[in-house]
Order: sequence, then structure tokens, then C-alpha cells
Amino acid sequence: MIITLLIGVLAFVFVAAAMAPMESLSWWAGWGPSTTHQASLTTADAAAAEAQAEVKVEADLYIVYLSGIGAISGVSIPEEELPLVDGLAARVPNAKVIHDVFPYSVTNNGLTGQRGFAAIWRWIEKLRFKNPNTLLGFIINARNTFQVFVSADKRYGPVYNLGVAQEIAAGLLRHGYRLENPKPIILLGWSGGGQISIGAAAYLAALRAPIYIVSLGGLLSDDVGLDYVTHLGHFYGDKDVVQGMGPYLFPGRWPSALTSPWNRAKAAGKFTFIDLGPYMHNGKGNYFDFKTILPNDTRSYGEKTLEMIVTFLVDEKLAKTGE
Amino acid sequence: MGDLFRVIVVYLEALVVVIGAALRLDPTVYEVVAVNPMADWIVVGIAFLAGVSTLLGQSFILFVNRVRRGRFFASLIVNGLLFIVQFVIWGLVIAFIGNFLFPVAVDMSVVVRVVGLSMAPLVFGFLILIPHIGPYIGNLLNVWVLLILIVVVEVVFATDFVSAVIGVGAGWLVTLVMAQTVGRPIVALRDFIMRKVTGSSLKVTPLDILLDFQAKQGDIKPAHGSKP
Repeated sequence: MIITLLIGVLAFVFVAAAMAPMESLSWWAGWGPSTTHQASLTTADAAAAEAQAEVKVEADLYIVYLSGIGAISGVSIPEEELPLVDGLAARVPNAKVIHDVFPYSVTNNGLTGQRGFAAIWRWIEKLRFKNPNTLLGFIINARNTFQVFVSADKRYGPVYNLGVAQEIAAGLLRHGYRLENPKPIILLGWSGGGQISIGAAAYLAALRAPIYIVSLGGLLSDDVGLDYVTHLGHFYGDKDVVQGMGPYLFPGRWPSALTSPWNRAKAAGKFTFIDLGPYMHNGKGNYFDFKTILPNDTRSYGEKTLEMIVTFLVDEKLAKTGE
Repeated sequence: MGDLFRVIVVYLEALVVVIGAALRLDPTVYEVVAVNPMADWIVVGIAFLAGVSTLLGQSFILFVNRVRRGRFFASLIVNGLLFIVQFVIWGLVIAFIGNFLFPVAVDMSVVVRVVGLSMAPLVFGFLILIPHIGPYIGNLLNVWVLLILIVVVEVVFATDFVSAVIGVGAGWLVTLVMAQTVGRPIVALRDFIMRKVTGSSLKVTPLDILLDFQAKQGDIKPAHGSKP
């Protein structure tokens, strides 16, 4: 009985994983209702976003937050991530922080949006509001993890990353970014958002702006987008095994892959690795934990994360702190 | 109507049982299929499913080339039919080589039927779709196909493992040479059929999407980095 159940679960996982690229591929093939599958960043959606932009005041830099695999839509990122995002906006007043892009869909269509099974996702979202650690929340994580690997896969990445880049571009325009005056773009990718950030960079380069990546415990592949990144700061915890899997999972990150995008970027000095200390990927002592105090420190885990990101932005001569 | 339904259910049950046994490299199933001409339909079913599933696993190329929905599903079915032709050709080659190399003479139709079983692992070809690990699964399935083929030759021609490996290797070489010489019209016909069904030359690769994008956007240069 238990073996049958295990085989059933395994079969379900395999089939779900096989179906993962279908959303982006069918979008590109023009099967869906969306018409924004053109090889351009200035799509009709983007133009509409620019026209609707409420904030016409330009910022010196634009920080686009791409949430981790727990995100369910652009407007519903996990609550624990908000203090860091809001803190960044407060500490870097010359920046516009954008957090309404859902990086796990090529059309910015959240799981609770117009899609099949939306009712089930809404139900899981409700459960997660009541209990953030509900086991069913794992289904969201699994679904979005598959999308991270879609982004990293050379068969699907060029399609997936184009879709996300279009949504990031539309997000920038919604928040007052002006194409004729390209300001630095910082993609702050948490966990899976890190990979999607570097994937989108290859397309966002068309905006002619310097592109920086802040990877927060990001699972990073040897994506060709790294060629178009000005600098990447990878913030990681000693106890974070998820980000630690990147060097093993992606052969292009192995030292033997001399000409891979990862090793090219490394040789060009584009990476800064910042060891934050004994951080976990999830649970107590993670990057967003503003309650637990770090050992031998007066700051919480979250406060240190925030400070280190701000310091990175200052070092890169991007941020003017408000303090 | 009820009888037809019953026949279909029995057929599908037999298909699942035979696929399972073939995957387990169970020599009994090869013997049963070899002596039972009624097994033709089971083997044809396996080859068809393998063809549909394998193309589904590699379907990113159809999507990237923007094959329309109706043509997409038609091309899966056509690939299933092409796999049936492919296994017959492959079976004839193995029969020819086997009868030439080994002392036991075996009827060609028997060899063709049993060789079709080697396609059983490709019924799971759709798993090649899985991001990141899919291509590795594809390699694993191909090794599995090879193993079944070796066992099939071993059983049908009553030979030992090493001789079976040599027989399969020789068959593979002959097929390779044929594809480049006398088999060219067949390969061209297959490609022609797929082009007609998909309505596309299928020449666009995923990387072309990025390169085309960059070409349209003008001169996009890689970033040099912010550090001196």
C-alpha cells in the first residue's frame, strides 16, 4: 500500500515536472490568449504600462524584487519578505523598489490569476495565511522550483527569460522608468529569483542600462545572461544548502567549463560573494528573519541582510543612503 | 459496442503487461512475442506510443518554431506512425545481420516483432521534457533500449551476450551507413512528411530566439563589469 502510494506520488511529481515548461512554450507558440510573445521588450503591454505609470518622478536606480519560490503572485509575496523590501525602499531613498513582478510566469499571471486550478492555489494561499508553515505550501514551492529549472534549461530558458524580461520591463515602465534615460537596474533575486534575474538580464540589456544582480541565497546557473550583467553580488549563508547546490547542479559552473558564461563572468571580476554568516535558507535564522538576533551581534538576521545589501549598493556607487 | 470496448481494454492491459516485462528485460516475454503472431499489434502499439512520447519529450523544437496546436498533435501521431516504420526497418537490419552472423536461422517477421519490444523504454520519452534532468533521462532510456535489444538478439538467435553486442553494434553501423547512402530518400521522405505536418522547416533553435532578439534591438554588447 505504502509502496503504491510512493510510486503514485513519484509519478505525479515526474509528470508535473514534465509539464512545467508547457506554460512558457505554449505562450511563445501563440497558443494562449496573450499576444505578447514577440521578440521585443517594448510590447503592447509595456507601452500600456508606461502610459499608466502613476509615478512620473524618476529615481536614480530601479530595484526590481523577484521573490523566491514561495511567491504565489506579484501582489502576494510571502509576508515575511516585506520588511526587507520596505526597509530597502526606506534606506535607499534615491531608488524605486518594485515588487509587483511575479517571476514564475511569463505573463506575470500569478497562480491565483486567470488560469486553470486557480481555485486550488487560492485555497492553498488561504491556508498559508492561517499557517505559513502548512505542508500544502510546499506545492507552491515545488511548482515554482520547476520554473526556476525551466529558466536555467538551455532548451526553454531563451523563451522563459524573454517573457519574464518583458514583465520586468513593463514593471519598470509602470513605476516611472524612462526608456530614453536608462537608469541602473538592480534585480534583487531571492532564491529561485536569483536564477531568473540572470536569465532575464540577456534581454534587459536592450534597455541600454547597467544591470546589477543582487542574489539573496540565489540558486544560480551558468546562464548566458551573465554576459550582460555589470556586477553580481551573491549573498549567502553558511548553512544555506539550497544556494550551495548551484556549483554542483550546473556543469557550466564547474572549473573545467573554462569558456562557460559563469567562468567568463568570474574571470571578468563580475562576482562578489558575501558570506553573511550562519544563515539558513528557510526557517529560523533565514535572510528575512527580523526577530532572531545573530550570534555575537546586536542585529537580527534580517537587519544584517538589509545592511549588507545597502552597503553593496553604496560600494557600487548606486545608492545614496538616507541615514 | 460492448465487445469493442472489451477488446480495447484487453489490448491495453496486454500492452501494459508486455511493456513492463520488456522493461524488466524478462526473456520470457521475448519468447512469447517471438512465437505468437498475434503479438504484432502489441509491438505496433509499443512503437506508436514510443514515437508519440519521444516527440512529446523533444517538443520544445515544435513550440520554438511556433507550430500550431492542431499541427502539433498531428505531428505527434505521425511520429508514432514513423516509429512503426522505423522499428520494421531496424528489425529487418537486425534479422539480416543475425542470420548472417549466427548459426541459427530465424524468420525475419519473428525478429522484427521482437525487436519492436526494444522500443518499450521510449514510451517514457515524454520525461525528456523535464527541465534540467530531461536530457539525462533521454540518454538513460536509449541505454535501456540498447540493453533490451542485446537481450532480444541473445534470446532469439540463441547466442551469448558478447556475440549479441557485436550483432547489435553491426546493425547500428549498417543503419548508419544506410541513412547516409541508400536510405537517404527514406530520410528525406520522413523529413518531408514532418515539414508538411508541422507546417514548419523546424530550423529555429531556442538560442536563435535570443540572437534574433538581439539582432532586432541593434548593437547589444556584453557588459564589461564594474570592477577594474
